[in-house]
Amino acid sequence: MKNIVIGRYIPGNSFIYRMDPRNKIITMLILMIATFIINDFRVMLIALLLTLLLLPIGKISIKRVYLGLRPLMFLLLFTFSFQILFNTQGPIVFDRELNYSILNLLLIATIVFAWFFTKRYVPFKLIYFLFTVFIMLYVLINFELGNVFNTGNIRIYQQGLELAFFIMIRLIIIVTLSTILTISTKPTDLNLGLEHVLKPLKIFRINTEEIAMIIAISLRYIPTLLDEANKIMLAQASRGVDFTEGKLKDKVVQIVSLLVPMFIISFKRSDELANAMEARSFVPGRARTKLQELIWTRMDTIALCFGVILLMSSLIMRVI
Amino acid sequence: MKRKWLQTNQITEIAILLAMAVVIELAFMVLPRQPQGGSVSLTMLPLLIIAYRHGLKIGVLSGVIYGFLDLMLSGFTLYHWGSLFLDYLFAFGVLGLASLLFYLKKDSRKMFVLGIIFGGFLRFFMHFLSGAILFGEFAPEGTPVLVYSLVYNGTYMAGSILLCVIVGFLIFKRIQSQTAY
Repeated sequence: MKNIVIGRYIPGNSFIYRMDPRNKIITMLILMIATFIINDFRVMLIALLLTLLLLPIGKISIKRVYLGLRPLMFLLLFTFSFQILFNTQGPIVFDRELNYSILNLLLIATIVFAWFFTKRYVPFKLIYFLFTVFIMLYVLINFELGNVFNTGNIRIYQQGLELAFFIMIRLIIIVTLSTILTISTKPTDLNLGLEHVLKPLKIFRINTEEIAMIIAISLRYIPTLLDEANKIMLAQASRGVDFTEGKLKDKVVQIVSLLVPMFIISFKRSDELANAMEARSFVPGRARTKLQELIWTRMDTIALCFGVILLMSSLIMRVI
Repeated sequence: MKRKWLQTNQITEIAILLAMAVVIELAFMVLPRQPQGGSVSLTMLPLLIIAYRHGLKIGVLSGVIYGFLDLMLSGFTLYHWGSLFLDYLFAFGVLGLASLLFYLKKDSRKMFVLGIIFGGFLRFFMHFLSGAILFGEFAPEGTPVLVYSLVYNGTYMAGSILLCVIVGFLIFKRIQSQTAY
């Protein structure tokens, strides 16, 4: 339980890291809105290029962004194949027959075996899988020997292809932007920035200061409670509770034996914390000073200007 | 127009129970997860306990805050802007509505369990709506989207509710005996 990472922050040093969290949040939001405004395929490609350019400039590891994209892969694949197979608008781009012959089937079996035995040595599994599927389709289309039977044609329409790539690129841009934000900003800084950014919500009588304070305390206490859970686990293990195995009924008993002390400890801790805060004359709602003040630098203004320029240009592109 | 703040001990208790919800979420990483998020976990339990101990308003507030915290820690990965509300803010916020049942009959184990089921069902409904709308946007019209959303969200939510009911039933007496403020 020690090596669990909370949030996604990775320490680093670049101009993105040094930016004011307020500005980072606002600029990312502007860029995301700009991405949603774009409705032309070529402009979207430019946007993707610009986004990917941010990674080396900001010294953010591409591997982490790829890991952030991974949970999205299923949705991407689903949307992609759906659009390609069922969208029948625009001219036909691709129209070929699928042939199933003995040679083809043998070749495919070989490819599947090769994929199955080599997949554990390849780092990007999903891309490798897609590559394999592509090769299989290629084999099905281009080779034939002693044709056994053939199914209907594969037809890909231009609009389906464009829309599939369009949606995919848009999702990739959005996830990359949010990953850049969360990789380069500590959760506590993010919370501090959000407190300022969300201040206009006061119109709806939402007290952002209070919410930010609750989130700040939560973030502070997550590692403490993890430690506590670890300690209780060891204590219960020394009394003979086995956390590693057991049937479902035993699992429930284990969970209860862990949860009850944890709840009671959290109630106690919250009580102690409230006392400690009040002893240091914390009064809810009264103005407080901060240990860390956010500093707005020239870099922030430049980045914000860039964001606004990109938003404007995407708006203009859409109108034209 | 100044709104009254919460009491200090309410602030700390909400904060620490939310931290506990996150810890539980982390501890349950070992169980298999579904591809697009959503897993069987006890995360709802601390939120329901807040709702039980502090009533409707604070229950809903802390649910919404948890949704936000969860989103923040998972890296603001949104597939659709509506998902922010349906999958995070509202989905956890409606758990606070379970306290409506707790108001009916206080200090009753049966009501607590019913409240868990009620809150869990409301959360499931939010995820269901989100699935239907999100996939409705990506896919052509048709009913299979509804069925898909129902099955997908139903599986892990049913597991979560069942787990919460069992554990909630067992630990209710201990929670109740803690002094409420």
